Amino acid sequence: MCSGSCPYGESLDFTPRMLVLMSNFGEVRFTDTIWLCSSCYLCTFRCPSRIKITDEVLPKIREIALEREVPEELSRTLMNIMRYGNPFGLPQRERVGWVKELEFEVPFLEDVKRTDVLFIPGCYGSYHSRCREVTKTIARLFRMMDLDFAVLKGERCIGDHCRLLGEFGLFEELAAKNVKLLNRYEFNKIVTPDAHAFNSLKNEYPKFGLSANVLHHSQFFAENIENFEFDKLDYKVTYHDPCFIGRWNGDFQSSRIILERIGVELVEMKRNRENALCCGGGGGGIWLDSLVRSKVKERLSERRVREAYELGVDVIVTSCILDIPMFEDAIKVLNLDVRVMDISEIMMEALR
Amino acid sequence: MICVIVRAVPDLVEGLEIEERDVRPYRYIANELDEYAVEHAVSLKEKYNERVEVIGIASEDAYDEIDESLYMAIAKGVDKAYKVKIPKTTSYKIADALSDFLKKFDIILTGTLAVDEFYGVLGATIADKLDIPYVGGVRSIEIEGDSVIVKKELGGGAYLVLKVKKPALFGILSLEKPPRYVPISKLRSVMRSAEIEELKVKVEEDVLDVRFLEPPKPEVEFIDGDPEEVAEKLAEIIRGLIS
Ligand code: SF4
Repeated sequence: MCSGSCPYGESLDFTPRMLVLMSNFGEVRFTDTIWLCSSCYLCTFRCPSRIKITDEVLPKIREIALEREVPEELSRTLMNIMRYGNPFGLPQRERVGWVKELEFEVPFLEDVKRTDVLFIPGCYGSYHSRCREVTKTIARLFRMMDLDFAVLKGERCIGDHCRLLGEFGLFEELAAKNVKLLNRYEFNKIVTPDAHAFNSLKNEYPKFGLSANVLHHSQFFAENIENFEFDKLDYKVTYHDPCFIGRWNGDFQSSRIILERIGVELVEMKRNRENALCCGGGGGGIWLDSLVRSKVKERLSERRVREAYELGVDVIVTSCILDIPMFEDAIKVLNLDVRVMDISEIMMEALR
Repeated sequence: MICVIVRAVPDLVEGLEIEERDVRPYRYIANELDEYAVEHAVSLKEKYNERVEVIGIASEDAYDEIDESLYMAIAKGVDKAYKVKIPKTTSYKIADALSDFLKKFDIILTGTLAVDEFYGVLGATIADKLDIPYVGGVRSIEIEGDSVIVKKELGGGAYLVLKVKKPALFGILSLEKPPRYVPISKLRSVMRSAEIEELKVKVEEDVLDVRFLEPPKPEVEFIDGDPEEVAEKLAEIIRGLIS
């Protein structure tokens, strides 16, 4: 089941099932293709024996592999996270640089000490130029709701990719630092557009002492949809279920509720909801493009945008911030004509 | 036996605070090219079974921050790490202070230059002091008996192959792969088990006269309008300048 499900199955030297068997017998053999897994969770989701392949077997094998040799592309990235708290090797003070690009002020939790919603954009939402646009859009939507919200200057990489890459030590260090910072202040909930950060904050950070109500921005907006009056958009769209919102956390509805409310025509891809095809960015995949490209004929992101494009849609809507660069790059590679929007961006467009 | 010299330098990612008579970094970090030198040394150890030691040099305010890089060097395979406190001073005085310690090594590696020392003289100054040959701009090293064969970067894709008799000092410029990453758990266990030996040397502090002279602000004029208008105005200004 697992091996047949894996979207990179045909490129793997050892399929998920073989990895499970190997770890059962305590004899692990190494190959570069263990880095292909994008933590899409299909194998684990479908496993009749409920073996935690994605979040336990593979990361543990990767942990041993990291001790032997770290893939070249990954070395610099992990070093950046360790030294600077973000994969880009950019300064910490730049993390909240996007705040200055807004027409209004966003308070820092370090200054105000308490807030209703703590907004955590994550590394991509904070530093990546395209993803920052999403972050600003969300802040503007918050503002329209008259929401009491704040951001943290001292936020560091949440670390979900590090964990799934088998770099547990780094993940633990990041989690401990972030939790220490978070526990200094008062807030009612955390909202983040980063599906990976969402997963870690919600499911892993409690082990480090965080007890907070964590929401993905799609969930937050779906809950508060009554606050918005939309003009109907006559777009034909499809929705890509991010692995870390859908399969990992069982939410297939929030974004669809919003899309229905906006009144766009929603067509589903063949592989939707629990069967959705991964964008390829998870589990560190977004940092391993050359390695992945050397092993597979077509990237997952390329397969996914082709699948969407064949439906004849104007927009591919997603709610995971990593999908945006993943899909936009794939669209450029394939030279297609289709837009990629975050759920918050299509909300904003329907409000104008 | 190989020795690598690693300097603590301002971390330019985190930036600097520039005051009238001082430049204060927010943080220090090991010089990037010196870390490349560590990589080369570790490869030599793996290939020729050479013993490798590393010495970290840092001023008072960077003295703790150099540890991370030294422990990382040990985790990568370096046999022993030393560190020494050296105030901000000239390369000549650093060479003077370290020459006694460095005498026993037959291959010494360091970065060709450092972010706070672009003229790249530390390696050459130390070599001069020890009276051994120096080659900078090195991208690869191999050992052959009592000699070392290095490739020295010449720019434009060209390089020079040199055979140098040991002992000698080499300034490293590049690396084929990015430096290896050391998983945190491994780093932590090295920090628990290994020790960095502190060396004491006498160096006189140099009186460095730092002055930040802010250049006068130039007059800036923004030209608005569509591209044609802007081009027209710009052309006019240039005409005015050249006539
Ligand atoms: S999580 Fe997805 S990519 Fe990773 S092994 Fe399982 S099916 Fe394959």
